[in-house]
Amino acid sequence: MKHKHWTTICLLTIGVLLFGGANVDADGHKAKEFKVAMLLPASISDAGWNALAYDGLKGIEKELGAKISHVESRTPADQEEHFRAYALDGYHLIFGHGYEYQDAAKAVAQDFPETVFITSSGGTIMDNVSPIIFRLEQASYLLGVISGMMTKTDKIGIIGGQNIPSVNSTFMAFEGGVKSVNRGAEVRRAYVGDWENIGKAKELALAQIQEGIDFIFHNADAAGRGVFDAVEKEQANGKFVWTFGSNRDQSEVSPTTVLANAVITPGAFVQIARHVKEGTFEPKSYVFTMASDGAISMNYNPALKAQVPAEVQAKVEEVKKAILAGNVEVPQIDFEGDE
Amino acid sequence: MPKNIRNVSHFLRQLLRNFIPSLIALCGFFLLCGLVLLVRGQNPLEFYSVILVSGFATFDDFGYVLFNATPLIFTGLAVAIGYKGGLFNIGCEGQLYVAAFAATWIGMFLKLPSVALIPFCVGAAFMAGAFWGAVPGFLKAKYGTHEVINTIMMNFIAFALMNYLVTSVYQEPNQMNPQTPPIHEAARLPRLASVLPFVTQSNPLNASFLFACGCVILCHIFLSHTRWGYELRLVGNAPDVATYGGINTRAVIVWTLALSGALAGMAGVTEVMGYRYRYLDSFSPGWGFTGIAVALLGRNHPFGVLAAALLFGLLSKVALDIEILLNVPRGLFLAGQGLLIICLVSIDGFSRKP
Repeated sequence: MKHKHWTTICLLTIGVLLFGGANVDADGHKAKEFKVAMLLPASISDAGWNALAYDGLKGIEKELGAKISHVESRTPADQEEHFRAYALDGYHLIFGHGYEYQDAAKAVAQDFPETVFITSSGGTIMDNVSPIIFRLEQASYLLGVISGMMTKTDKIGIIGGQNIPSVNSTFMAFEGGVKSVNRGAEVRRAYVGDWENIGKAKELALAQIQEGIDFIFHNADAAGRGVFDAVEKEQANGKFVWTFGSNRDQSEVSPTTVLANAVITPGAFVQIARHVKEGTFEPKSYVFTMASDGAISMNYNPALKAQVPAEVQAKVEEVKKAILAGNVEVPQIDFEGDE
Repeated sequence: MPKNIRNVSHFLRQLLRNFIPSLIALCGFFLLCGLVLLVRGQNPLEFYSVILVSGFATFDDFGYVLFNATPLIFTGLAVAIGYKGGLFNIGCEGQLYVAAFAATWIGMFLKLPSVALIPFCVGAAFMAGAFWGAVPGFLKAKYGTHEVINTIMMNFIAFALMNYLVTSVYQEPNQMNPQTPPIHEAARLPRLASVLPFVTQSNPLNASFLFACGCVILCHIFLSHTRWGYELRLVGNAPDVATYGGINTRAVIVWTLALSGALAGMAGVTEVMGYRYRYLDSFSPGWGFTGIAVALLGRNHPFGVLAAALLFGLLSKVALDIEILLNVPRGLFLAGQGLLIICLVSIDGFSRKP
């Protein structure tokens, strides 16, 4: 007897839930305003890759009056869950800020044809999925020129977060810049393994300095802090060592070590969002380069510009003009062929 | 009629007595979450309304609750069955990974029509989960080593082994994610959206939910109405009596853990055959461990497990939504769930004191 009641009560409960679920107003929490969300691989307080994207998101809020939201998605399962949750909540545009978001975007985009998914770099293009590609390579090439001319030991270091094509492409360009002015220089690469392990990045940087490296170019997001720490420490010991900032102007992050930066303007995000809002979005690679409205640029740390010899500055200007004129081929990895 | 009414009132009283600790702990949990939000300077009422909106505003939302609950029903059942047999299976997480991989492997390489392939995949997952559970069961029955230690250790072995198989042997080429190629179309369980007209097309709720509900009923029948269920419960409650009564206690221990592992493995099936259609390394957000909470909250009764799993399905949807809509870190919820279980067990102990 007892068990029959059990069944009845459970069925009733489920019935009530289903009935209640089906009858509430569907538009209750799905307003019509323009909503933009962003999935980030790490904290927005990294003063680099993630902070840059958050600047872009803020720009979208300010210039387009959009409702914005962001979340840190670290694992592939998280990425998919977060894409889905935002799409379900009626977001019109969702950014996945990294090459690693392509698979999740692809999986979820099929279920939500009304939502546009943008990944930062990558080669996946579908009806509602497109990459923004920041060609940071040209600016990285210029940084390579600076370090190639200024190095005293002919040894230059590179520290990356993870070994992924979008990051390696900037490293290839940087190496190309170094070799273009200093054929004999040796360039060494090391990877932290993630984007946040500051301690490991510091160890790697100290080891590189130990080997005689006097310029370090990082592309490691939050972990880049470790590179700056190491170089600041060695500078205090009187060593001639410098770093470069990447993705965002990092002159303020380490004012005594960052000679120059390869910078992405957050305006690129706003541009895409405007396309989506106005219905002019089309699926394709949105490529931003040094030539396109200065979306990518190389700038000096104003406090340290005097440390860069005039002849180096002149050479950089010359190379920059040559790149913009199309006379210098900057080595890079082509993502478009990926999929 | 009066007899019927007496029955009902007796039943309700018993129900209340059994589930009062669960209800008290739940109320405490929600109050606590509200309190934390208040301290953070946010409006707790907003939080409570998000809970309702997030879970029940549309059928789509509710579909996600059921979808989230599906693997938890299985892991909850797994822990509950073990518990009834006096065994504590903390190895569900490992068992579901192994089973998920077995299902994926069959689903990738066997070319058969759905009617044959789906049972094959589920069967492979069942066997794999059962094996992963039976090993600690055997060690306990034969050498008396504690199943808690061994199921945990089997977890680590499963994590490492599956990670190796996925990243080194069966990695899908040219992909960033550590995942296998997809399983055949024929091995995929249909989404309910493709059958029921009122479910939104994007909703991932799939046939594995119905399968889970079926297993709840089967488990109930098994435990309460079969000889094996009786033996299992007797070994759990009074092993000496069971031995004296002529039951092969050791065999019961082995097959109890095997059955528990197989049920946990079905949680892996829901993921591979019902949702992702491939094996993604470390796909589970801790379903195996949440299963312990589900079983405790559901008082180790199959129907209680179903209710508790639905609740946790709701909670995990709410956790995601408050993170996204209210900017409250999901960690708050996880900590809350931990507290919920501690409260529950304490209240239980307290109320049982003479």
